[in-house]
Formats: sequence, structure tokens, C-alpha cells
Amino acid sequence: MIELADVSRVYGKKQNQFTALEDINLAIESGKSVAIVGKSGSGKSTLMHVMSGLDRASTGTIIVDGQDISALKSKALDRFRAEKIGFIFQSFFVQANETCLQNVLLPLEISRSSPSDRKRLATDALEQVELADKAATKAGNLSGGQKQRLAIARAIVSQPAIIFADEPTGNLDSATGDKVEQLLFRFNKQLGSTLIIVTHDQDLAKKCDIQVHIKDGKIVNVDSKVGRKRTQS
Amino acid sequence: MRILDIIRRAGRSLRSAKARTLLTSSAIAVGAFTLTLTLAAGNGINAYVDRLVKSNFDPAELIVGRDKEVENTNAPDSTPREYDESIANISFGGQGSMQLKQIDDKDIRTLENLEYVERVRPNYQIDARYITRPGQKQYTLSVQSYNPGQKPELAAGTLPSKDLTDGQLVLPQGYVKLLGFNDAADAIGKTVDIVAQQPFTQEAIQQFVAEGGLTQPGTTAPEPKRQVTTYTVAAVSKPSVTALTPTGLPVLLSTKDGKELYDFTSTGTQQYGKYLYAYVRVQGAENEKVANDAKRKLKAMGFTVMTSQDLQASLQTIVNVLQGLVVVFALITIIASVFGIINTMYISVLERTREIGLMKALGMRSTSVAWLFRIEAAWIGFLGGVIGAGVALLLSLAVNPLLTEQLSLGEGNVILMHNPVQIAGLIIALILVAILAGWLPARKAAKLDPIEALRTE
Repeated sequence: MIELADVSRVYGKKQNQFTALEDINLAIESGKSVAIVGKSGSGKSTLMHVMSGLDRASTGTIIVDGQDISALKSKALDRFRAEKIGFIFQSFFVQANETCLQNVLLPLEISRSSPSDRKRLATDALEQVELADKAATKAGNLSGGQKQRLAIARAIVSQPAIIFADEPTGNLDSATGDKVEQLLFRFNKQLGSTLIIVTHDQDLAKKCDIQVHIKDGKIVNVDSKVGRKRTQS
Repeated sequence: MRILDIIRRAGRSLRSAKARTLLTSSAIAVGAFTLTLTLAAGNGINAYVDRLVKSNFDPAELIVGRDKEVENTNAPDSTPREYDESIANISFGGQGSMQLKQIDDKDIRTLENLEYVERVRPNYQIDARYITRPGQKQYTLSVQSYNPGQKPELAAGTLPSKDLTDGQLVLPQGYVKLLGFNDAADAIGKTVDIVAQQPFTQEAIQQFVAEGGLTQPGTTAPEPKRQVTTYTVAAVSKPSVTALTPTGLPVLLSTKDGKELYDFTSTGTQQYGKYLYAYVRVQGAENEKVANDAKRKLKAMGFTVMTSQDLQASLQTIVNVLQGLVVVFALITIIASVFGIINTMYISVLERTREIGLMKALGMRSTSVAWLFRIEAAWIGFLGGVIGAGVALLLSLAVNPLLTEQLSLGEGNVILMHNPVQIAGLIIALILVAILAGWLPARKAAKLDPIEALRTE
């Protein structure tokens, strides 16, 4: 469960103040898939950052699984991200000079998981994204779609409660993009991880359980598939 | 992140920039190379000095004199001083002379009566004319009284543990053939003659005048008095690689014989009964504390004292000064290479902004990020140290045999003496220096904001 209460994020000081988020109130049940939709500059990325603990809200509280992350010290917040959150970025951010296996091992090393389990967990994750045969290949030699699948393996390897995906298909053609989408929704269902996708792709957004529309730092509309179905019936 | 994982990741990222890493560490390697060689040369030379002192001086003997110059290891003091009876002129063949206070027979007796003194050997300046054997030519020689603490290397014969028996001598190998012996063993037990000449004394001249020597035409100067002493050869000495004998090996006599010869040649001169210094053997003075104790007591009695440790230290001072100079230059090289490391690390941080951002987003602590870069710098230091020390070791292997031969150090003695602990210490020090050099770039990496760092394009 993710709960945001009166969350605002303000950058700069005095005259140069800029409000990126204003009074956000939102509750997301665990295991749901959520799309945060909005134009660029709408504040959707900032919303993702404050929910994932990458950035801090200026005011308001963010409670994830009963834990108030806005009150956490930076060390605890780092740990929260290492243990609870998986990230997928538009530009993949895989380490080109490292092998696929080493890329997937990174989160496990950061969360100090026991060295004996690491190899197994990482290999499993690579299998899940059908890259097991590329374990020893340098990530720089992969295609774009493979890189994003590698990034997915890296995001799921520590079995996070929440996966944040920032425009995950933005740099991919539609065929490979579809594959990446399928994987994301599969892990959402299979692992029960909450999936939060930041996108301006309406088609992708429609595949999510919940769509949060953002404009000028404010939530303008929350669509729920289940809710909509109910009104239609 | 565990430190081992950090070390591995740092190593990997260095491998992905091989040329840069190698070039940066080669700057450190130059310093490491110089330092390794300097330390090795220092070790070798100090070990050599050690051997030199040990084989030329009895470690339990103190050099005791009256003049402060005995203790002085620098250039002699040339200020004129007030005359007293104990001062003698020591000439340096045409280079002028030095006036030094000497110790006399009374001092020798005082020293001999001290309870902690085992033996006193005055430094006899024996002036023998020549050495010969019936039917052989006459050869020049230098004569010393035998010092049991300074055993010469022998070609034949044996030496007593204490003093030589009176009437015996140790003959240097060079005289064996000249004096008509077949070989060193042949000389043992045979006799040789040493001829000494007495200088003109006042009495001798008075006697000569009294006998009308100068009034009668055709007379020449009086014949100087000569003394021929016959000795038995007890042993034949051969040159040692560590012997401090600028004049070639001396003929060695027993203390008593040495004194007799000295007395004969110095009677009537201002040198008679006076010595520049005496070797005073103190019980247990191999121990530096005992030696210093005795030194203090003797100084309180107005003597000047130099222990064998002082002597060794004074010889090593020169070595240490030279070594210090080279070390300073090596340190300058290392300081220069520090800037290279700082530069390389800043570039590395800039290049890997996104990687740093990602790692921080994934929950890596800032301190871990900083250590990732510090350890990367440490690897550079380690690499530089290993390369520098390794090249120095290889060079030493190649050059040592040559140097040993050139400096005639003797079999098994090397001038570049490497000490594994020193090298390990040096490499560790370089690693620490490199970590310090990487400190600021690492801090920059640690302070990066992950959101900024991940902002693409």
C-alpha cells in the first residue's frame, strides 16, 4: 500500500520558487499496476521520485507498507530503495563494460545480500527475461530491447515490493516495446509487485489497473479499470 | 556494499580504461622505482659498513684520547690553540700538520687501573725501516701491534685467541714470495728480520760533538743507531674485502714487541711515551648501553671517547645523507604523480556520472560510492608500486653481480639489498597516498544527486 497525503514538492527559494507537485493525495493498493500519465513538465517524474524515495517531498507524508518514508534518514532511505524498490529507466542505464551477470548482481551487492545466494538469484532473473545465455556477454553488446530486458532483470532480482518504470518503452520500437511491456505486467502479476509506470503513451497507460493523470503538478483525474467497468455495467 | 565487492568493482572499472590506468600508475611507478632502489642501496651500504666496522674494530673496544678531535668525525678544527706539553704535531705529508693533544703513559696506567677496563692498547706509531731475511732484498713495511678483536683473514698458520706470543709476527701474503718462501705454509715457523732506526737524540749529537766529530775534517754525520729484531712467522695474512688498510696489510706484532719497537724508534722524540689514542677494551661493551656507560665515565675523567657504535654511526651518516637526498627527489616524483591521480579520478567521475547516479538510485550509500573511487585510486597506487618495485628488483638482479665485482665486495655480498618488509611498506604507503589523492574526486562522486545524474541527454 502506498499512501500520499498532501504531498508537495517545491524547488528553489523565494522569487525563483517552482512548485512541481501540489497537494497530491493518492492511495495505491499493493500489487496494482499504475500508470502516471501527463505531458512533459507535468510533474509525473517528480511524483515518481518522491514516491520511490529518490527525492524528498517538501511537505506531506508518504507511507509505503506502513512506513513513513518522508521521515526516514538518508541512510534508512537508501536502504529502503535497495530493499523495496526496483527501477527501470527510459535509457536503460546498464553498465556497458560489465557483463549481464555483473549488471544484475549490482543491486544484490548494494543490499549486501549473502554472496552464496547472489549468483543463483541473478541467474534466475536473467532466465526470467530470457537472457540466461547472455550472462557472460558485455552489456554494451546487447540490442536496445535486450538492454531493457537486462534492466528489468536487474529491477526484479532483489524481489522489490514496488517497481518504478520511467518511460520503459520510450526508446524502443513497438515490437520490442511490446515484449518489455509483457514482461513488466507478467512480473506485476507473478511476483505481486506494485508496478508504477511513468508514461505519456496512452496505449500503455490503458493496460494498467489505475491511471493517474497529472497536469501542472496536480492530479486531474484517477481512472480505475475496475471502477470504470463497474459504472459501465 | 561490502568492501570486497567495492574492491572488485573498482578493479573492473579500471580494467575498462587500461591505457589511462597504466599511464597514471607509471608516474607513481617512477617514484616507487627510485625509492625501492634507494632503500636497497641504503641497506646494502649499511650492511657493508657494518661488516667493515665489525672486521676492523673490536666492538668492545673504545677509542680513548685526550683531544676532542678524536671524537670529531667532521673536518678537523684548525683554530690555533694554547700550547701544552701533551700537544704533538701530526704531519700530513706536505699538507701541513695538525696539533693534537695526546695521551701519555700515565693516562695509560690510569686507564689500566679502572675496574671495568679489560685491556689497554696504545696506538703505537711504529716506524720500522725494512723487513728482510738473510740472502734476500730489503722491503718496506708498515707495522702494527696485533688486535685480538680484529682478526685478519689467514692464508696459513693459526692465531691465538688473545695476544700473539712475543717474538712472533703475522706476515702479509705479499711478502711470502718476495722474501723467498715457496708459499704461505712454507713461511710458518721461519724467521724474518725487522730493522728499526733510532732518530738522532740530543745525547747522540752531544756525544758526537764531544768526540770531536765536527772538528775533524772528513767526518760525516753520525751513523744512526739501528736495531735488528728477528721474529718467527706465526701466520700469513691475506687481504680481506672489508679490511680498512689504505697502506696494504701491516705486519702484526705482539703488544709487547710493538711497544719495544715503538719505544726504540721514538726515544728522544716528542712522540716518546705519547699516543694519539689508545684502544680500551671494556667488559661487555659490545652492548651499546655498557659502552655508553663507560664512555660517560671516561669523559668525566677528561678523556675523549669514541665507541665502535659511534664510529659506525659516523660512517653511516654520509650514506644516510646521500640516501636522504635521493629520497627527497623520489618523493617529489610521487607528489607530481599525485596530481596525475587526482586528474584521472576527476575524469573517471565525470565519465561515470550516470553509473554513479544509478548506483545511488539503487540505494548505494554515498560513503560506498566514495570508497569505490578511493579504492580505484588505491588500485592505481598499488599498480604503480608493484611495477616500480618489480622493475627495481629485476634491475638489481641484473646489476648486483656487476657491482659486487666492481666494488670488490666479496662473494655473496650485494650492494642493492632488498627487504621484502620495506617493499611491502612502500607499496602500502603508495596505496595510502593514492587514496588521499582520490579523496576529492571521490567526494565529488559521493555528492552527486542521483536525479540530476540520471537526467538523460
